[in-house]
Amino acid sequence: MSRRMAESRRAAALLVAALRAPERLPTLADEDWDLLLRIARHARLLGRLDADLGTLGLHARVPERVCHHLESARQQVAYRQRLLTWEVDRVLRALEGLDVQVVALKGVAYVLTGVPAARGRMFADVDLLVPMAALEPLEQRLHARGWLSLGHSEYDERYYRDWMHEIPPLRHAERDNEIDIHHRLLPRTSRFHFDPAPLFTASQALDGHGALRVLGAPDMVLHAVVHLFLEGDAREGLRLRDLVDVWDLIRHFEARTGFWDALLDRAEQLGLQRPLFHALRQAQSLFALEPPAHCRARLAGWGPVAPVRWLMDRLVPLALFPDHAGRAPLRVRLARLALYVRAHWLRMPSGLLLRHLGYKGWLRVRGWLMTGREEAARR
Amino acid sequence: MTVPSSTAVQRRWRLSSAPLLEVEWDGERLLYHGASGETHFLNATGARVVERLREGDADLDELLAALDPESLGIAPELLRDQLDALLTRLDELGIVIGTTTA
Amino acid sequence: MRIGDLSDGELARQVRARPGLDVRIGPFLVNLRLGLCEPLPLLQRMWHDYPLEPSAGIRDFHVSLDHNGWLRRWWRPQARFTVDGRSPFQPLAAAHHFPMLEWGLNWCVARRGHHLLMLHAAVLERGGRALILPGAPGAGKSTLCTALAHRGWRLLSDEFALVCPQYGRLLPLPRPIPLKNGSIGVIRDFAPEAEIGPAFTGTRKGTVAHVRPPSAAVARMDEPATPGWLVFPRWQAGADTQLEPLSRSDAFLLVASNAFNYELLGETGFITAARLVERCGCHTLSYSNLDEAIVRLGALAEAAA
Repeated sequence: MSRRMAESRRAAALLVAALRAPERLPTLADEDWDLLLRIARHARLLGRLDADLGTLGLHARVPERVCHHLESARQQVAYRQRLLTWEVDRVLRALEGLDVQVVALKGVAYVLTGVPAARGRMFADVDLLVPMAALEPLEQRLHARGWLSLGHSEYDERYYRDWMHEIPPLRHAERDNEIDIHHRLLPRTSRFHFDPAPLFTASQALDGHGALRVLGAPDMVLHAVVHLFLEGDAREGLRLRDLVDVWDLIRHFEARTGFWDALLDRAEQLGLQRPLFHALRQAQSLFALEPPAHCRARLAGWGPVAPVRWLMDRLVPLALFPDHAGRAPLRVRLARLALYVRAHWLRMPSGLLLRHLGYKGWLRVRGWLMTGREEAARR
Repeated sequence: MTVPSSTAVQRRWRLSSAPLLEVEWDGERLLYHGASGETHFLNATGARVVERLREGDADLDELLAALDPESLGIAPELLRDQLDALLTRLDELGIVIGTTTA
Repeated sequence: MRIGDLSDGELARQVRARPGLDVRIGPFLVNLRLGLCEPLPLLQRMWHDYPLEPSAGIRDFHVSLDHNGWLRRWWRPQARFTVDGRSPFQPLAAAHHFPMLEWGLNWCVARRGHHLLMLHAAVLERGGRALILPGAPGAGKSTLCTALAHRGWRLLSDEFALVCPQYGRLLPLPRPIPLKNGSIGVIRDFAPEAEIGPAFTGTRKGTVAHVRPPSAAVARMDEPATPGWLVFPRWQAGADTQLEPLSRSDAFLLVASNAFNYELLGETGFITAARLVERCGCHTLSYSNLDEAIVRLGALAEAAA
């Protein structure tokens, strides 16, 4: 094993251990902190470690130099959370009197509902889900109140409206935050796409936030799963923080009676069995998240054929961790590329994918990574 | 549905519940609005309006009564328009909240 | 042990080999690795007094300067700055190696130091009290700062006023001062004793040459200063020297708009900036003659003593 690979593994192990057992952080050696600070920052999980240490009252037992970085991360997290929850507040004020359901997604939803997944969590923009039919009046109202559309060309507009699950991002003339307005959770072109209507039916009102709603618990988890596997970035790979979201949400909601069954039922209803299978498998191996015994058989039936499972079990962990120091080892980069290509394949019908990647060799790779409905249908 | 103009309907104004931090130097006031994280600079009129709303919600006439046009050196009818514009702006910024009552 | 105590060969070996050179610059611990040797002679002069921290475990920034791939060693050579393995900006021509390293470190501080309120300002100290000179580009901040640093004021920083939110003290970050274009000649004439490095021409800021931070300033970089004066300088050709009082609310707005992270710090930023303004004498200074400006600022310090 190369020195670089060995250090990458050590960094990844440190990060997982810190997430699983923050109470042990005060015993960390300085050299380990040096590595952990870098990988946690790259993974955007430094704020999360800080929040856990704060809850445990352990800041005083951590080296002072580390505390500075934690404090810095805390300020950055607080800033983004303040900025984006305020943006939502302004959107709601602008929409007052309009009869439309607005569902907050991801980071904003976690913060406003106060679930533990919100703690120390960095987020980049505001994601809202609204019914397709409400898009037009909503856009009109927001445009009238100072929000500008960031879709520049006609091509952009068409790309978004024809193929995507969201409209071009909006930004208020006086502020810098992007708002992504979704009308479904996945692009229409994704082979996992589903009718979003049941999401609204199961959504829940938020006290003190006007017309704002959040997804029901199983849907919130499934959206985090979808985000983990179906949004890709060739350089970054899968995002560990997305898996952490899934883990956090499940740990929080599983205290509710019947949650696991509801989650599995919903996955079946929306056709998201396979992504949920993969997410739970990773959460189990990294964070020891155990589904209850009575769900295991049902879950096991949702896995891919053995060779694909073997491949995913090797690719996913490699791709989940950012490099602590620059260029990732070749193996890691290949794993990321493969998963990125896979994410794109899942989002787009093959004709579109070829146009997008211009990469015919992919057709062969596709045979390997067989996933999803086609295969299920064949069985 | 037609949108009523601000002159046809009296709006009532109240202070937002978000925390406000203030410093005042020589009659000029700086305001930190905790919910948005924005800092605002208030002149004497603005400062007086915020103070009046702190005592309880008010409509435009009640706010006008709390101001002293003479000392501000502004003609009363001009002041009314300026005050209305100021309140609308403070509403956009989230510092005050206007509610329409028919 | 300081960087200047290492032999040329030893310094070259340490920055090339793992784990690199661990050196403390103000409150920050920097791990430096170089993949190109061109900056070494200048680095040894400009960073001469920084203490080495060979047993450092936790570093604030792992920075490196390299050629951006083996090809760039020969073909249009480039210098690339990285921090923790990521390069935040485009590589520059290899000839601009040292300015790139210094800009890179600025970026690290500005992006990571949110445990402090960071103003874009020069800071000097006399009698324990800090003179803060926030500066828009072209306001003559660096020139004035260099001049003061060679006329009895202790240099804390040319670029960053680092304010501790808790006590409001200013932390020193004495670094090489980058002089631009005409001000290089001005300082050569004004303070012949100042040690000025080679001029780098054609950088994005024109010609840049660095002044070595005075040894005494680096030796005392662990001594913070309490806020004394906020002076907003403006150099203007032919202007009379005028030091005028500034209202606190104007000073506050200028401080907030000159800060790297005022907005990010939210309530902490507001309270820290307000306390800073409250504790400082606030002035504007327009000047064209350095000697006169220094006399005026010296008078401020003497009046307080």
